[in-house]
Amino acid sequence: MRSALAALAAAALAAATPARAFVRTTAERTGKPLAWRFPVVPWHVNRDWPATSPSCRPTPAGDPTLDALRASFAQWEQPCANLELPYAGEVPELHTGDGGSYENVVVFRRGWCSQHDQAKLDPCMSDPDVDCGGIYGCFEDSTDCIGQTSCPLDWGIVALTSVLYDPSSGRILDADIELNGWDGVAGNIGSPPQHGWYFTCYPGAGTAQPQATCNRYGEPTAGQPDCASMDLQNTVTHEVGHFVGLRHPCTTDRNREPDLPSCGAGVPAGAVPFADRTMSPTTDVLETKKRHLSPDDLAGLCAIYPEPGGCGCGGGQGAGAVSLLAVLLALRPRRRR
Amino acid sequence: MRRALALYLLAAAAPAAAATFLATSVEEAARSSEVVARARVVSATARLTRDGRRVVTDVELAVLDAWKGAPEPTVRLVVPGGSTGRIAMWVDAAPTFEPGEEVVVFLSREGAGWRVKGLAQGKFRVDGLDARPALAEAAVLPRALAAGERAIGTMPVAELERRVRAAR
Repeated sequence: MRSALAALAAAALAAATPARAFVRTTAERTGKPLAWRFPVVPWHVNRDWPATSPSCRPTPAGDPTLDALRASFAQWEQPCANLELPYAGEVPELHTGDGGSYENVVVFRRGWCSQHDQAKLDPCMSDPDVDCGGIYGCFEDSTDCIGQTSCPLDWGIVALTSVLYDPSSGRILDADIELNGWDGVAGNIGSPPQHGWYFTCYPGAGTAQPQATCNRYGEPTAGQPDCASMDLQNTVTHEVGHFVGLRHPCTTDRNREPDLPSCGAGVPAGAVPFADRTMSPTTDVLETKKRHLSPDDLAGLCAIYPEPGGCGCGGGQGAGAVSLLAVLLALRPRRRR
Repeated sequence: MRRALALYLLAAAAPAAAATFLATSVEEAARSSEVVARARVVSATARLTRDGRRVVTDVELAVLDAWKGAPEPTVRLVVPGGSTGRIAMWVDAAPTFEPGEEVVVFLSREGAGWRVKGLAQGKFRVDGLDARPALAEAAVLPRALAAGERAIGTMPVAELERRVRAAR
């Protein structure tokens, strides 16, 4: 079996094309690729998120929000990779980055600070030295959004992942994910959304979720029979890709990122289209395809965190054929730890 | 031990970030900004925040041309991230500024200073005849824009100026 895998891997490498399967995040100035040092990276969640869409609310049968988060991290635990991402429970932490307790936290923000009754009156809103969002659990936007019903530049941010690392080694020390969720105020969901992004949690394959887009916060219980919006698992699975050290494989603006291929460009025969990869930089409401890693995403993960004795292909870029190699490695029986 | 670890992290850490943005038009950005200005970066100096937990960069801009609003000749703003030498913090979704760089910025007034609107979406770098936005590592959520409006992206400086000035 091993020799057959080796032969297939060799064939895959021989067929390699210049297309990149994945791109790693690198340290500014030193260029060191980022990676966790140890293979077990626990993460926490701050559940200070009182407003949820009906599909994300806990029931006696389970907690769809936590299930979605766990499924998102679990996607990045693969047989070919020496990386485990265990859930470590809830924490009260609201700060992220180096303003926090250095625990890896998924934080739900409750809408924009400009729409928060207390935050909008607090001088912290206009003081760059104070972490207003960490105090009130909101996402900090501009003071001129206060009293507005639309603030396009500020309210366009859906999620933000911050990764703390040692620039001399590229070693990741801490990572946090902020999700700009609903603040609980009823009404129409604008574009951009005045009261935060309306995450929905429908388990299973993409076909399992409603195909109608929610147009009011609180639905489907508030009048619309069945609807979905920004899929939580889809969003978080992409962000966890950054959490483990991956960058987008393509760019929507080659003038800005000339080192990356255009997301609109074709890919070699047999390669996964950019739009179908978890680390693709574009997304949309109702989208669920990022919930599951494409072979290219898997190639990146397995290159960064090879199993001992594995491929060890931890370079900054990967060739297209490495995707196939990663799949072959992923098909191996998982070693017991 | 925890304190020692915290001190080590502070000394060695530099955050990177990745964001997901909703596509926004130049016209929307202009309408929601108090000031849109073409400017040159005079200085960019990183420092720790008062609580010592984060790094921010104080930026001083010399205004070359105000496309919207009436800013002072010198504009001072603060952006997240930067490097003090000992401590670095990189927020990828935040704009960065280099002394001498020519930029177009979308600003709102915050206290005594200014803030770049929408993190990296609110800053363009002028590169010859082009203006390039600072959306380095952002995922973009497509969205229908008003007829005739153009999403933030690389475009000629002249077109960017025309769109900003025409935004109502």
